[in-house]
Amino acid sequence: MNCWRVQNLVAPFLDGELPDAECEAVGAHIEVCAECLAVIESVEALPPLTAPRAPQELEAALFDRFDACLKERLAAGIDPGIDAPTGVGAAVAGLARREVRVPMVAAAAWLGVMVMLAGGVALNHTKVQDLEDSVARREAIIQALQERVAVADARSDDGTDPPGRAMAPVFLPPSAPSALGAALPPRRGLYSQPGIVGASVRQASYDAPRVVR
Amino acid sequence: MPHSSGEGDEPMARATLKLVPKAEAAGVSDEEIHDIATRDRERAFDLLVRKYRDRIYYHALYITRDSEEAFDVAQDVFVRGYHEPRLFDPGFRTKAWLFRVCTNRCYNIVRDRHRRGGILDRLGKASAGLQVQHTAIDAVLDREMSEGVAHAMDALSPEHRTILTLRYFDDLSYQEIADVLQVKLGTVMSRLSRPKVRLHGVLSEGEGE
Ligand SMILES: [Zn+2]
Repeated sequence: MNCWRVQNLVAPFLDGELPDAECEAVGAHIEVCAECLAVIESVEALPPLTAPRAPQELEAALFDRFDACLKERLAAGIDPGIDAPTGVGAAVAGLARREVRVPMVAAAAWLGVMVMLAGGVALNHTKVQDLEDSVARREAIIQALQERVAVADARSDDGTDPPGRAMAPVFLPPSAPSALGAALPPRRGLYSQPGIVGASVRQASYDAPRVVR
Repeated sequence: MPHSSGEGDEPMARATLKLVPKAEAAGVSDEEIHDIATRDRERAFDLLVRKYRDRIYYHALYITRDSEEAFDVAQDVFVRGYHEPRLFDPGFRTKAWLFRVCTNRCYNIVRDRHRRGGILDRLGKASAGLQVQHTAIDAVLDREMSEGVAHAMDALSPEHRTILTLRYFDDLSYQEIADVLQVKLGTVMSRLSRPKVRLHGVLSEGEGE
C-alpha cells in the first residue's frame, strides 16, 4: 500500500470502518512511513466535528410550525415540482448528460454516414475512371483495326500499299483478343469481304505479342 | 402545478394527515415504517416525517446556512416524498432518498445564490411566520460555525463540506452516504479522508497567523 492510498483511507481507518485486511495494511505502512503516521495522528487530533443545534425552545416552535405547514401543503395537494421529477441530482446530471450525448450520437452517426458516402463516391469515381480507360483502350484497338481494314481494302483494290499508310504494327494490350471479339462482329456486317477482315484480325493478333515483348 | 408522476398516485386521503407524536416515531426503525406502509401508508408517512424532519431540516441548514431556506427545503423534501410512489417499496432506501433530495435541493439553492450574489431577495418573504425563530437560529448557527473545526470547514469545497456534514453532523453511516451520493463505498472513504487531512492543514494555518 502506497502513501497516496493510505492517506485516502485516513477517515475510515480512524472511524473503524476499514475492512480488516486494509486496516492491517495501513497499520503496516505507518510502522515504516513517518509521513503517513504524522498525517493520521494529525487527523486523529482534530477536535470532534459536532453538529450545531438550535436551542430547544426555538426548535420546538420551529417544528410545530413545520408540521402545521406540511399538513397544509399536503391537504392542498401542492406538489413542490422541484427540479427533476424523481431521480434528483443524478437524474438531473443524467438528463444533462443525455442532452449532450444525443447530439454526440447523432453527430457520430452523421459523420459515419458522410464517411461512407464519401468513400462510396470515391470508389465509384475510380471504377468509372477504370471503365472509361478500358473503353478508351478498346476504341483505340478498334480504330487501329479499322485502319488496317482500310489499308487491306486499298491493297486489294490496286495491289499496292498506299503512300503514308504502311502497315503499322498494332500495339495491343493483353486484353486485345477478347476486345477484338467484342469489337469485330458488327464490322463483319458492314464490310463485304469477311475473309480479308479475318486476315487483318489474325495479323493484328500475331503482331501484338511480338512487339510488346 | 399538478404533479404528474403517474402511477402510485393514490397516496393518502389528503386532508386526514395527522402527525404522530415525535417520541412515538423516534424508536421506530425504517423497516418497521416500511412494514406499516403495507397496511397504512398514511401512518407510515407520518412516522417518517416525525423521524426525519429534524435531521433533514438540519442537513439543509448546515449546507445553506439559512434557517428559512432550510425550512422550505425540508418541507419540499417531504412533500415530494408524499408524492413519491416508490417511497415505501421493498428495498427502496428511503432515508438515503430523503437526504439525497435534500442535498440536491440545497446545492441548487447555494448555486442560485452565488449567481444572484447573495440572499437579499429573501427579505420580506418571511415564510411560515417564523421570522423570529429563523433569525435566532441563524445567529446561533453563525456563532457555532465561526470557530474551530466548523469554521475551518468553510475553507473546503462544497462537496467536501457536504460529505463531512453527512458523516459527522448528520451521523450517516458510510454505506448510507454512498447511497445518498450514489457513489461506491471506496469513494466515500477517500472523499472523507481528503477533507479531514485538509481540515488539519487549515487549522494549522490558522494557528500560525
Ligand atoms: Zn506513507
